[in-house]
Amino acid sequence: MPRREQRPTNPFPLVREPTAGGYPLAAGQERLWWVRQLDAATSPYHILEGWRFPKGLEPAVLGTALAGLVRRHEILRTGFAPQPDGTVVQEVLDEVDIPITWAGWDWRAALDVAAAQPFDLARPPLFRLVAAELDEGPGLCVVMHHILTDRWSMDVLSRDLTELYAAALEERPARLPELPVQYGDYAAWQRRFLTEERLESLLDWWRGALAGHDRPDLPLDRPRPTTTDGVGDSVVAHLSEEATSALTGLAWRARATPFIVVLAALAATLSAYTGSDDIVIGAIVSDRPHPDLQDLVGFFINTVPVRIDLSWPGLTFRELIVRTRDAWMAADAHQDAPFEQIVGAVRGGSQAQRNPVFDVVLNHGGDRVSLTESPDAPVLWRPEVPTTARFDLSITTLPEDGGIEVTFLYRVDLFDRAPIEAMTARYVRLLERAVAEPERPLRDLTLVSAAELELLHARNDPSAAPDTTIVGLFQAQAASRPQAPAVVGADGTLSYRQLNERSNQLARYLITRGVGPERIVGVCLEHGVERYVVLLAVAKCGAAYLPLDPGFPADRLRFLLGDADAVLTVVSPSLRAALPADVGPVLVVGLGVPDLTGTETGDLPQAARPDDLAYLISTSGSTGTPKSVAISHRGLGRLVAGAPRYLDVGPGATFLQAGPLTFDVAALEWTALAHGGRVAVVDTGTLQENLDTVVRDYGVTTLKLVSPQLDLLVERGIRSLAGLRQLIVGGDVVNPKSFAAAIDLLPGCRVTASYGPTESTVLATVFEGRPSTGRVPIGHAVPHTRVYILDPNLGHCPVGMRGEIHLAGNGLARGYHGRPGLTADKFVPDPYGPPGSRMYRTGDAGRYLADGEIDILGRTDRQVKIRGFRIETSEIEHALLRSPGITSAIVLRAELETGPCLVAYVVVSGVVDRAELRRELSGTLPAYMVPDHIVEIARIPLTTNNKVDRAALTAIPLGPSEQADAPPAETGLEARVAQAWSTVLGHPVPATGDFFEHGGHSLLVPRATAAIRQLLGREVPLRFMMDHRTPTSYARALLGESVPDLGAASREHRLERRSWHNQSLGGRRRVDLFVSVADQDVPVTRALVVLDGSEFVDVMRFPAILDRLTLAGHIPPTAAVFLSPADWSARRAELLDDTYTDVLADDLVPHLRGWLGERWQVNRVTAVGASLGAIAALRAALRRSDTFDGAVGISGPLTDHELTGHQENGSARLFLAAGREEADIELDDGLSLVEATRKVAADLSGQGHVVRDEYGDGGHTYAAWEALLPDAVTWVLNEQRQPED
Amino acid sequence: MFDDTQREFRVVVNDEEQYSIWPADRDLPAGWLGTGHTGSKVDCLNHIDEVWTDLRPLSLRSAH
Repeated sequence: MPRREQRPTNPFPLVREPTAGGYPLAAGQERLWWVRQLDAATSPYHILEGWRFPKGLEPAVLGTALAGLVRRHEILRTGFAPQPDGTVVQEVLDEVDIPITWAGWDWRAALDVAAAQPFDLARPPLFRLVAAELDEGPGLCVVMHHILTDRWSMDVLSRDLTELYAAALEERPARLPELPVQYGDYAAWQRRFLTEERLESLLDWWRGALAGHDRPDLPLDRPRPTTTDGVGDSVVAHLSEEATSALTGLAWRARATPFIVVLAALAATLSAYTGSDDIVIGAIVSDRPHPDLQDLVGFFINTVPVRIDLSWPGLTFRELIVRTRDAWMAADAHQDAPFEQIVGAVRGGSQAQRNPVFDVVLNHGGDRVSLTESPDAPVLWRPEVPTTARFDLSITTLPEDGGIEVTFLYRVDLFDRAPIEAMTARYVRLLERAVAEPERPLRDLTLVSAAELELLHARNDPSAAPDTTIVGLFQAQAASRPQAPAVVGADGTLSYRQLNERSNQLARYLITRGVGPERIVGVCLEHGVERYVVLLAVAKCGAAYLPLDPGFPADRLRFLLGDADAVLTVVSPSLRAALPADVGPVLVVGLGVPDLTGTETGDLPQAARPDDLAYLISTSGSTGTPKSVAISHRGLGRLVAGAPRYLDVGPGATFLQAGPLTFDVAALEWTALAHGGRVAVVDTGTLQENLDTVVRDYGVTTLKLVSPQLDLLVERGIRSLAGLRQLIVGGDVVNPKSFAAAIDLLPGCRVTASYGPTESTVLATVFEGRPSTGRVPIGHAVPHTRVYILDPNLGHCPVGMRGEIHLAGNGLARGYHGRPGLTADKFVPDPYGPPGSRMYRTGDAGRYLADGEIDILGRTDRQVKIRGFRIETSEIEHALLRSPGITSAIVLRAELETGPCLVAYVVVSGVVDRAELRRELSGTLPAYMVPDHIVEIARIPLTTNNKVDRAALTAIPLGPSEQADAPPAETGLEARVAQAWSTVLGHPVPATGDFFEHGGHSLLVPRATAAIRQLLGREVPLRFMMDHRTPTSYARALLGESVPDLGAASREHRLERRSWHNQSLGGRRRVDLFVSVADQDVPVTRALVVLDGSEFVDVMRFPAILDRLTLAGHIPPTAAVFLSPADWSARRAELLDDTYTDVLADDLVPHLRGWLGERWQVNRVTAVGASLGAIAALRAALRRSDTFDGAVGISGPLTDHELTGHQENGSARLFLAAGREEADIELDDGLSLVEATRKVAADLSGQGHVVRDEYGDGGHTYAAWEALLPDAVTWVLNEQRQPED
Repeated sequence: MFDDTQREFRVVVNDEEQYSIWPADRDLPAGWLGTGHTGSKVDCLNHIDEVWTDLRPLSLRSAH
């Protein structure tokens, strides 16, 4: 047994030590404080407890008792005061008013308000009371913020209040244990223990303990939203007394505790649900590591990540308990590291609205006991209040009557109730089974109850299909309805009799060419009625056909025919040239050849037996070599026999499938021929251009499409298909918009979704109806078919659990033609079917919905992993499809030089604004799921089998990534934010870098935000950083927020981005051009060159100011060009370079002139800059008065840099400004910034320039600059050369 | 399960002489027999490629 590390004891004495400056926050409180700032409006962290007083409740006595309670516990008088540096302290008041509402019988409303109303943590008391009249007597309920208390504390509070009330009633001193210390002493004591060094060593351990953990994903019912209201709901289950006593016994025998057993079972459940054997669960523990803390009220909860290794196929529950015990003890020994610090250390907090490190917590409340024993004591009263879910899933276990009550609390924005009910049931079932049979491998414990399985498999049909072949069925139809039309095409119509007789003749001929059972005949046929003469003739010989696409390359055709060992290839006359010469015997059929006049027309003796092959379908193999799926008559017979139960193909129906013969769905045409319907054999073109005409002209009633084809039709206007009786849509992701549109716009038409790999003969499941979720399910098994959703251990998945779809029944292919190994790999023993039967592993992931229908979740191998995140691309596809402009979407993972990335290929209708689309996606998907590239394509390419041609998509070249290749910082504010965050983190963060992916954690948010507040000189909410995690988006949001009068869209719309390259400055840089409100025809008479883009008010803010000034008539229409450095790190050298102003005058301003064209009537060009940009702006006006006749320089270190140039005297109009609070910024010559500005203003004025200097409030902040700018611009640009008011 | 490259499999066959593979540490489903060959998945599939020369079900082969 490994040596166990013990949790170190805090060596410092825990003593009463009141401090004037307040106490620090305990580590756990810090997190709660922060969460409170974050969720200002939502998910209150409130704890509620209530009591009934059967003997009455005296207000005065209660007042005395409560006063005593608040005197006794400092924490009840404590508030949390933020300090300017971003830290927070606990301040204890001497007294507080106790907020109590005497609500009487109307207590419900009062309590709802009390429970929901947020507390301002800076203003104690952080609790409130409601006194109520109940049928059983008076009741009292207290609502407290969690930061003051925990469950144990509520027991302490109960006991203290009871005793204080009794004492007050009896007018005697209360008999309560002395409190040697208060909560603040504990916090200080904890802080003292947690030295930098100790913390670092703990964090080292945690880094190791959590290293390489690949966080598994629970199957969510909805994508994780970007904001949450925290609304929760819970499912309660009960562990029997018998199981509980087995659990306890097992725990002690394994030298563990019931908590460990409960935790182990949870790990096993999560492992089953996620398919991962590396599970981390947050254990919520009550942590009072000193005896003197026992009687305190306060927050003593710790959340400890426990990482449990479930790898090893034969793992038994007993072994898992031992592993869990060891994992817990190791984690426990290191639980002094505050959770937030662990998050920062392992960079685990990078997903918004997802708890860092783990999604699931366990709160084992088995040890809770009542501290109150007096017979007169008030009894607990727990009125119901809305539930808040703080984690994806919180599992609570509580003892009840010898058993255990298990509660699964879940976020309703992520999960439906039914899957959680199933998960809860599965968990309890696992506990029951595992404690009864701890030595059995966990994987052998069946966890879906027989009743549930029966429900899920209710639609499975284990019956065998009848032993008929299509030949027999067709001949029966031909005999009973000889005159009825069987096939119709551009080349005419064949009745059942004609088709039968002609195919009999051809069959007789084919037999002479060696065609017979188990022989393969290649067929390369055009769309026409002749096609069915050939196919039927082949079938009547007992042989199998292999459809060939004339468009296939010669090599592929040669390979397919050779691989199938085809005895003959039948080809239409027009397609003869498509076949290479060396493919073996070829027979041209059509246009009267071969001449079969006089050949016997009667039926042949039945040659095909059910297990003989009916056809081969070639599909592309993963290795690049095509493989052919071999379908027997039994498989085809199973499709045909059951079809009338879900397909409209009988007499009177006309079936059209809009795909080539090489598409296995073409086999559906047999269902019509076997049941007396009619097949339309028409080429509708790859784009279905003439589909509506075909449907109308041929009277098509039943149409089968693949999903991208439906999208196309819906886009074009699906109403033109009115008259259809049934529309069947296949393909793994059916666009729900298109599906709904078909239902809505085709009244009287059944709309069916279908699913089926070729290996299970065309169809395996169908769905009809309106989807209950945002996705179209694939439904349930078709007749004679069994569908299983199995976990990685081949166990049945309960409702909601993701698993692999397996298919069984008569529809299964014989295998892959000539590929025994591959066949054995994909067609495996079916442990749930008749003895000796097989099942096909589809590689598709799916799950059961509560009603037993199946929801497909994409390919098991299409779950891609990027930057450590597992991503289900179909989820992104669904998100894209929700955007109104997008009709089809495929998302793939691509490998680029810069690393793996996500590429979305979209088909759009009309114009899609990329930026807007990205914003939409960011609103519904986590950042790591927003595609790096969005590529517009005309249509989704399909393979000859009508599958999405992924290879063709990946061949499309990609431009530079729209996210990753963004320059380091585009605007000054971005650069400033990045700089501020970098300082807080201790290492650089790029402008597009996520704070939380760069080692940031929530406790650093207040500090990082404090830095931004100082920079801006105004309040910024903390939660801003959670919504905007990169400097770029943060800066954008800050600016967007500060300009309420002008929507972001319109601003951006009017900014024209230009690219400007200058040889001597180097680097291609972006330049933004803006013209203040004016018609296109109005000439522009003023121009601003704003340096640094501009650092101080930014391209996003300055245009609003210019618009406002122009609208108010303060300035004429003005053009502004915003210039940013190519690289912000080179900014200093660039701005101070003498040649810089020359480049502006000689290159940029002429460019500006060119951009404005005829509107350029500029008679005044002004340079604007702040900080170092102020130097450059003034230099421009002083050195190049030929171009610049004015400058605005704000907060520049003017005396530090040489300003004078060639022109010593002049008449430039100069506005100099500094913030009054900058008086203490000392420049090189000992002057403060304000003094320097005054001095330079005086000097320049003396040289004949027109100078105005101003001093604003707010210091070196954006707010100060913004306040000065309108005045500066108005003055400098104005015609009259006198200052304004 | 079947895509686990670390796992040991055995070659199994049913009454129709259809071959497949099954994890070596699991009980065989009814109607399937081990052929005695075990190994990695690749090894088992290679073996099947050699021994399963006729993909037709046994009943069909016998009838021909």
